[in-house]
Amino acid sequence: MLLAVTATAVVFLLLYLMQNTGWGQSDMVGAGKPLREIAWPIQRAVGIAGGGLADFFGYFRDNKELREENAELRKTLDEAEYWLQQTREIREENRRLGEMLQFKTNHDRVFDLVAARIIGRDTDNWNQTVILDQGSRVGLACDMAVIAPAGMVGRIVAVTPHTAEVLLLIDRESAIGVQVSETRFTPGLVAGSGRDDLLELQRVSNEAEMAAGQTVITSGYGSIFPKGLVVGTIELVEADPNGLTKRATIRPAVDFRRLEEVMVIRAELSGGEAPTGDGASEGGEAPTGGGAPEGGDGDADL
Amino acid sequence: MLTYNLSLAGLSLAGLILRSIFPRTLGLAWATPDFPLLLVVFNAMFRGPLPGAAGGFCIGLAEDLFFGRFIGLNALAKGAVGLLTGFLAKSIYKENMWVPVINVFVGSAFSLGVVFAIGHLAGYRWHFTVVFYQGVFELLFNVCLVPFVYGPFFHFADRRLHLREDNG
Repeated sequence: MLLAVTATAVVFLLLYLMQNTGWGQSDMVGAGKPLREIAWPIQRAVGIAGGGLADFFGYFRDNKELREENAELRKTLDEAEYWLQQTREIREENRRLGEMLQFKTNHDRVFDLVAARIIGRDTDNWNQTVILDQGSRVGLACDMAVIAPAGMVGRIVAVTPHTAEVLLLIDRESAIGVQVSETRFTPGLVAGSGRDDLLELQRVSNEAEMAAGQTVITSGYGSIFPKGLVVGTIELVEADPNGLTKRATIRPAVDFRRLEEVMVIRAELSGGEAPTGDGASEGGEAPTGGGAPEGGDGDADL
Repeated sequence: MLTYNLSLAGLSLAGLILRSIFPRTLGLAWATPDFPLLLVVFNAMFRGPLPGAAGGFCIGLAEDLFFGRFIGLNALAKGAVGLLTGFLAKSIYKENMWVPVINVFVGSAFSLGVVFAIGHLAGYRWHFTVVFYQGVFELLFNVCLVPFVYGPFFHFADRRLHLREDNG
């Protein structure tokens, strides 16, 4: 009984205390202050340790978050790089196709052109050929000339309905009758030198007017290559050991290592005029149906 | 017994300080474990209802005094918890880990209810939803701490209160 009365009294006392020690009071009451004073050094010390502990765990948490963020950013960067590369590719392709379109427009009345993409290259070192993604289905046939906006590329040597194989100018087996644009001199045949960036003009007469820097164009003698298409630039002229002839090294106008799209001359249109103002027609010559080979250079390709 | 009581007081003070400095960021939904409540429950389990209630009252009062506000709120709540736990665990086999877990669960819930009710009576206008969610997380926190705290406390109480001799 006494206990119950005491307990009840204590409860009411505490309720009264509670009401008078709430946030309505301006300061702490009772033993609160001394107790807090006793406890503060411990609180401070443990607080610092606790802070260190929180920092310690925070390090791992932050580290994990940073790793995740890093992975996310890396992924985003990879995607951005991929799209940037795609954009570059498209821009470059656009530039090339623009050049081709310009070329095609300029030659519309002269040539019947078919655009084609290079889809393969000869993987051995013996032949310099490429495979096009167009074939006999669009009218391509053997011995058709293949050109790029910069100049001559080669000729078709094999076709299937959907592909065509092109023997590049830089192949040793390739030969093409040429003319020096500046002097109109027709020195002979240009063929591959075994390198993918140089052509050779052999057995040229000692009297031939040739010098480095002159432009070499197709002579048009023969039935394959129209006249006036740029082949390259003379880089070096030197005498042969026999003293009777000389040879010239020619740098092709086309960069064969970066060739991706080409055009095939399906036919020469009659009555066409000489296209001017682009690389393939610097000579300003009217493409013709080809004439008789000159000077005994009786190669069928001439 | 004196050593036990002094040790309990020391542990309570440590529990108070620990609770006051417990990093909120480590808590669940800003709730922190109620270390003193664990001591109240364990003490009541070993000593019965009245000593349990007295212990809870003293620990709660110390907590109120420590924080200096609403004096009596925790004293009443923890006293009630001590009383309840003392009755509940009076004749239960205390070596079973589920016993303290259930007692802490019930004690925490009861404490929260009492604090809310008394605080309401005293004019403290808490938002029920906040108290509820914070209370739920505090309760879970307390229960999760039992396996780590109960073992050492059991050995401490066993040593100081000579439980086995008393039982024998």
